Formats: sequence, C-alpha cells, structure tokens
Amino acid sequence: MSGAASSGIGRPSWANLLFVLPYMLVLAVLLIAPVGLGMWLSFQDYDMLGGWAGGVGFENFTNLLNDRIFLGTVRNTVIFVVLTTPAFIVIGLFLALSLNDRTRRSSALRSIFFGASVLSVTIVTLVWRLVYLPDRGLLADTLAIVGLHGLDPVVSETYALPAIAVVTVWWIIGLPMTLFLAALQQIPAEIYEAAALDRTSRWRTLLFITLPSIRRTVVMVAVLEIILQFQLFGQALLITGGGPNNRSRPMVQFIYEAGFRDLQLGFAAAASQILFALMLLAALAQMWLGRRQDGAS
Amino acid sequence: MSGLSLKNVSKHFGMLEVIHDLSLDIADGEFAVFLGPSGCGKSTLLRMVAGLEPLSGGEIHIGGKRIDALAPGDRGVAMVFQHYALYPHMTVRQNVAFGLRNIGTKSDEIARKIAAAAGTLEIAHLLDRKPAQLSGGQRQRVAIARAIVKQPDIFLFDEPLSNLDAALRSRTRIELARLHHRLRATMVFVTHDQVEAMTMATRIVVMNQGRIEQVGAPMEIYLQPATRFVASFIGSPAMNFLAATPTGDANGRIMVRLADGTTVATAIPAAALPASGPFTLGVRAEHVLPGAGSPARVDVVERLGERTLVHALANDGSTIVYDEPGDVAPAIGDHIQLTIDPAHVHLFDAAGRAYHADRIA
Amino acid sequence: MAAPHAMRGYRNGFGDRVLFVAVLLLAAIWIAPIVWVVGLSFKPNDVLMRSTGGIVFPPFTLKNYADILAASSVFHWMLNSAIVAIGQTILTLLIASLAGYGFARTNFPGKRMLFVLVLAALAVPEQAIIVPLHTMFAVVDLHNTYAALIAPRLAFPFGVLLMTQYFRAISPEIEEAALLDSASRFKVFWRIVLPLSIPAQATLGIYTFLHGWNDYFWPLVSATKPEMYTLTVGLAAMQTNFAQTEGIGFLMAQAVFAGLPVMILYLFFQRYIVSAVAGAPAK
Repeated sequence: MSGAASSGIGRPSWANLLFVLPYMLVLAVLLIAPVGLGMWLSFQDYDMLGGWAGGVGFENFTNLLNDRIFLGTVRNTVIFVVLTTPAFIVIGLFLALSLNDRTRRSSALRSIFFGASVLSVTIVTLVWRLVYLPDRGLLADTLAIVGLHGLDPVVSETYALPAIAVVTVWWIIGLPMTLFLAALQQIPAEIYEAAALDRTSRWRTLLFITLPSIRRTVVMVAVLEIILQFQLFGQALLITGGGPNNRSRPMVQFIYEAGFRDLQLGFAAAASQILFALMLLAALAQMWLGRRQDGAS
Repeated sequence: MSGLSLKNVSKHFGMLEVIHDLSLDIADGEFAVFLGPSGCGKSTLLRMVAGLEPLSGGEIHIGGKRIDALAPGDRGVAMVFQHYALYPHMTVRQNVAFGLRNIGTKSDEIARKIAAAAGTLEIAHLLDRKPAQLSGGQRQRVAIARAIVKQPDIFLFDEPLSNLDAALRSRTRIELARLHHRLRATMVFVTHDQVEAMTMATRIVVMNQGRIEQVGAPMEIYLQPATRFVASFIGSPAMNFLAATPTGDANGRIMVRLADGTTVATAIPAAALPASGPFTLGVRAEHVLPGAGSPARVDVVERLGERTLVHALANDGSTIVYDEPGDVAPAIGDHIQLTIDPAHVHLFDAAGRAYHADRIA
Repeated sequence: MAAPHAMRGYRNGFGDRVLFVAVLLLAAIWIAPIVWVVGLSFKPNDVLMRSTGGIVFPPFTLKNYADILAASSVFHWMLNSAIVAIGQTILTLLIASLAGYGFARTNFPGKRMLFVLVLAALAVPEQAIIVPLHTMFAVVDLHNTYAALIAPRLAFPFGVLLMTQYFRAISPEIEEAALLDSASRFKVFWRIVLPLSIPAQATLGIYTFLHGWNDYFWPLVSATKPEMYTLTVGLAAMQTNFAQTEGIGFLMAQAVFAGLPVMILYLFFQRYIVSAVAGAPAK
C-alpha cells in the first residue's frame, strides 16, 4: 500500500477527479481542517465560556509541561503501554502458535479469545466493574477461595492501572492473535517439511524458522499496540475515573477533561498536539524499523 | 472491414522507449501475427491499437480513418485477452450482450447475434452459465464470441492461447484459422510462440526491442530471415550458428571457412557482402547432413517421435544440431561426420543483417 | 484459517498435551467474566445482594430483563446506535468505493499528491482532532444531531485505502474489455468493478459498522442530550452512578442485552469480522 498511486487505466482526465472528490471534500473539512484548527488553537487562550482572548504563543505548552497532573498522565500512559504491549505480544504469539491449525477445537478457542474484541468499551467496562466489585465480584469471590479478602483494585493506587491493563488485554487480545496467525500462515509449508527432513527439533523449529519468519509482524504488532494503547481512554474513565489520586488517569482523559469539562479549548488542544507528536514518533519508528528490516533481509 | 495502418508510432514510459518510430500496413482481411520475445513491445503495440495505451507519437488509421484519439469502444476493434477477461459476475449471454447493449443495440437484434455467434462457436448450451463454471477452452470460445458479435473492423488477440494446454492450443489454432477464413476479417494476433505465428498467419511481423525486424509471409520468414534475430527466433530447433571467415569466392559465390577448418562453398553472391568483418554462418538442422564430412562427436540425443534431434560437438567445441527421421540415430559418444548443405546456408554480418542465396524455388 | 501445516508432524507428544491444557486454562479465564455475568443476570437482585456464588443453583428470574424492556432507554439508544452505524456504513462504502476506484484505476491531474494526503491522514488519531472538531460542530450548531454523530468517521482514510488496494488487485483486463465494449468510465465502475468488489465491501462494511456501533469518544462529547445518546454513551452514563445502584443483576442484564446485537453478528459473520478487524491495522 505504501507505494504511491500506480498508473491507472486510460488517459488522464479531469473527469476522473469526480471519483475521489466526495471523499477528498470530507477529508478536507472533517480531518485536515480540524488538524489545522487544533494547531492554531493550541497557541490561543481560548476558553469556551470566557471566549477567545488572543494568541499566547507557547504558554499552553509551558503550562502543560509544568502541570503535575498532566505529567502524571504522561507517566501513567507510558506505564500502561509498557504493561500491555509485552502482554499482547507474548499472549498473542502463544495463542497464535497454539491455535494455528484447522481443527474445530482450535477454531472454537480462537472464537473465545477473539470474541470480546467486538464489544464496545462501555460493555467491557461494565462487565469488569462487576468482576472487580469488592465483596461480590468474580475476582473477590475467586480470591476468597484462596483466603485473600478485601482487595479492591479499582481504588488501589498500586493496582488501579494494572487492573485497567488486564481489562484491555482481555478485551482486544484477538487483534495481535489474528495478526500473528496471518503471519504464521504466510510461512511456506515447504520450509517446515525441509526442517522435518533435517530432523529439526520442535524448539529449534520455533526458534530458527517460525520466529525469524514472523519477525516483521512482531515488530509491526509491537508498534501498533504502542500506538493503540497510547489512546487509552474509555477503560480508565469508566473503571477508575482516573483515580485514585490521579494514579490511573491517561493523557486522553486529561484532554477530555480539559476540553469538555473545564472547557479550556486552547489548553486541551495543546495537550492533543503533544499526544499527536508522541504517536507520530511511534509511527515513524514503525516505518523506520520496517525499512531497516527490509534492508536487512 | 478494413485494413490497419500504423504511421511513425512511438511509445515511451518515462525515459524508457518501448516502440521506436514504427510504421506498418496490414491489408484488409489479413491475419497478421506480431511475433517476438516478451518485452519486445508487441503487446504494447496491440494495446495502442485498441486504445488501452496512449501513443507517444504517430498515427493509427483503420480503414483510412484516423482512430488514435478515439475511445477504445469507438475504434471498431474487438479484443480477445490473454486471460479472456470475461465478466465473472455475468452469465455467458450477458457477457456477450454487454458491449451490444452499451451501444444501444435492440434486444431482438442482440438475441439474433448471440444465437449466430453461439452457433458458430458451439457455445449455445453454455449461455446461461457463469464463467467460473466453464473450462479454459470454453472461456476462450466465449471471449471470441464476445468479439464476433460486435462485427469489428479488426479483431485483436493478445496471446489468447497461452493459458491453454498443448492439445487444446493446437486445436484452437486450427479453429482460429478456420474462423479467419470464414469471416474474412482483419485479425491481429500477438504471440511469442513461433508455431502459432507460422501456422495461422498470412503475414508475420517479427519484433525485437520495440522495432520491426521483418515483415513477411511465414515461409518467406523461415527461408529468408532478414536478421540473425529472426533466424534464431523462427524454427525449432533453433538455427545453428557457426563463426565463419570468408576465404574468397568461386563463380561470384562466397566461400567461408569454419572454426574447425571446414570450408563451405555457399550459394550466396559475394558481391552482396560487405568487405570484411566477422561473419556468422547459419544453417538449419534439416540442412546438416550426416555421413561423410567433418568429424563430430554425439553429445545429446533428443527423440521427438517422428524425428530425432542429435546435438553433436565439432572438434573446435561448437555445437551443431541436425535431425534424423524416426528413431535412426547414433548413440551418445559416437563419432560421426557431418556435411553442411551449402545451398541452404545464410551468412550474418556483425550487425546481424542476413545474406541469402538467391531464392531457390 | 488457511494452512493446516504449521506444526504438521509434531502433534501428539507430551508437550502438546501440556500446551493444550495451558491454552484451555487461558480460555477458561477468558470466558469466565462473560459466563459469570450472563449467569448472574438471570438471578434475582436480592439473592445477589447476599452472595454472587452459585451461578448454577436456582432461583432464576427474567425480571432483570423485564426491567430493561419496561424502564430503561436502552432501546432508544440502540436505535440511535443503529442509525449512526448504518448511516456511517452506507456512506463510507459509497465514498470509499468511489475514491478507491479513482485512485486505483483512473488517471487525473494531482492524483499522486492527493493519494499522499490520504496516506498521511492515516497517522492522525481521533484524539488529536476531537477538540477542534467539537468546536467546529458547535459553531454550526450541529451537536445532538445524527449528522454530527455520523460525519466525522467518514473522513478516516482506512476505507479508501482498503478499496484502493482491492481494486488494484482486480485484473485490469476485465475493465479494459469493458472499455472496448463501449462502457463509460462510470459504467465500468458501477457494472463491472463494484459487483466484483463485494467481498471487500463486506469487510469494509462490517468494519465500519462495528466501529460506528462501538464508538465512544465522539458520541460522548457530541451527544449531550440523553435522547441522542448512543448505546455506548448511554451505558456509560448509567455506570457513573454505579456505587449507588442496588441491582447488580439489572446491570448485568444490561451488559448482556447491550452486547447481544454484536455478539449475534459475530456468530454469523465471524470470518468477515476477524478479517475486517485484523485487516484494518495491517494496511
């Protein structure tokens, strides 16, 4: 897909522009214009109640970098990414390797692991808030069997963010699993047959054939998950509300609260630019890694 | 129906020149075959006639009317594609009718034309099937039917036999030749297979690297190839090529010495040849005769059934192929002697230009 | 799932059994919250007040579901979600197919530049533009309308890129044949290419529908009146007074009820859904 538009059929004509015009208009109005407006807003003192008070240069950004709560949300977001991304890769890869065949059994198990992905964030959080209920939740009931009582992860400074991470991994493990499965199926059968004829052990097959063959996908999934998990919002807002003591508040929730609760549009827009920049960095890292891998192989 | 005329046609993709200032006239009713290796520009040329590739320069006329600026559908051409290009979601009947409907043909006339074409191509029983339910040969017939109903001035074929198995391919060759004879339509056929060219064409256009190497009737091209490229491309097995040095002339006919020391007294007029330069002698397998002559050793024996090809090594290391009828052939390693029939040799100069003996009837 | 080969010849060992048990255990953990919630949603609230153990033992009741049907706005929110998701799906299929065909198969001045713009749009996350987008809709006073809920997602380039990729994979010969059959460019698109792209339309349609149905952030900030809530926003609004609720059975029934539509879709179109969801990021 990255290759620029290759030549089409027939001679160039302005009339063909009509094919792309509807989308390009939507793109211009609803995506490109907001990006531009957001950049402009981030340099303004614009409060939805107080109105526009003119440009303030980098004041919004310097305020953000001195804002303990904002810095806390950056830290929380990074911790969350660090918690979830390895889990997505390890569990996703394990499931893909275990369920990569055509048996009914594997197909049924794949359905179980993928199923939650189709639910909306609010259903998932509703289910898990019930699971996390202090006295009557599934977690409390299960821990009670082994004699642990009184754990309420939602109000724990230590466990709030990990609790959100667990929900997130449970919710969308299907994506990395499916991507790894697709990659595994691209490996030609002949390679495995050759390895079998060479009497390669199962572990060596995994280490020297399977994993190297899907190295690109592992990198892709890692960067993809980093980008996706940077956008943590609904789970935190609905499970912990960002608490306790701001210990589970992510950047997007900060943007949401600054923009839509405190109505400080300029300030919120500036925070959005920082989030955007961090995610662009991750995307660039993906492209750079992808290119490097291309060169290496 | 009418002829096709290309005038100074050229085509480049960016810096890459794929057709060089090419001119060609194909008369009404001819079966012209563009023959050449892949990448020689033959398909591009055909697609330019069809209107699927814009020209970089030159003009194309059909029946005296300039058509290179017209849309593909307005040029009076029909095309049979390499992969048939049937519309997968339409039945055979809808496939054949699509083009007629697009130009506003009346329903009863469409039905009549489809019935006629289906009869000709024996696909009447397939009309309500989808392409996926047809065999390769059947799809081929549908593609031809789709072309026929449009009654085009010119039929264009883009390697349409390359996806058929060998048996079907030779049967389809015969049917296409028969179809051409019956419709008396102008047909332009692109292929890299010299057998297709030889068997179907009334005229072959041999192309190489965006240029025409030779235009001529099949036997003319076989017997008097204009260039070394044509000589090597036409005929199976390929013509033998041996380095040759002129040693003088006898009765105005050039004499050459081969690398193994053999002297060949050719029938080629000495006056036609350039003064010097390295030459290559070309001779087809059927004009290399076993028996007395220069010594050689048998290297490989290929049995084709009705004849046998023998690859022999001359004592200078060069390979010569000759054929024997049936299964009469020496064994590998046998020492034999070979003579080159001097009446049927060709000489090629350093630029590849060919020199022939005067035409023998 | 295509290839059965990955581990061929290595099955049936002791290691396999250990592996299988591990996967099975993981699957049990994965499905437990759902089973637990579904099971308890059929139990009376007063029983659940005392204990949430013993899913399998009576008494059972349908009262929680009856309460949803009687009282809550879930139905209305579902309708809103359906309008939004279906509207987004139809419009996305339309404009993405057109644009995908334009980029894949036609030539026009500036095509390369516009395509680069579309690719670049892929890097813009929703969160980065939500504040200005909200401001824009506020200026034209469109919040709390279906138009506002539907429109922003139409700008996401994934559909265009998916369709571009798909159209490029269709044999150009077929379109050339149609051009030689005197079909206009639009007719080639409408009669030939579009019918051939039905698998891609299905994938994109399901992807768009699911995202529209499950979308949370934009409806949260755009639909502020309860009668314009989508299902996701409505359910979230109910969770905010979670602590005070007396009936967790009711909440559970609500989760089950709200999840039912997509779960039914998932059962019928699992293959498409998996490929749609997995194909999305693999652009």
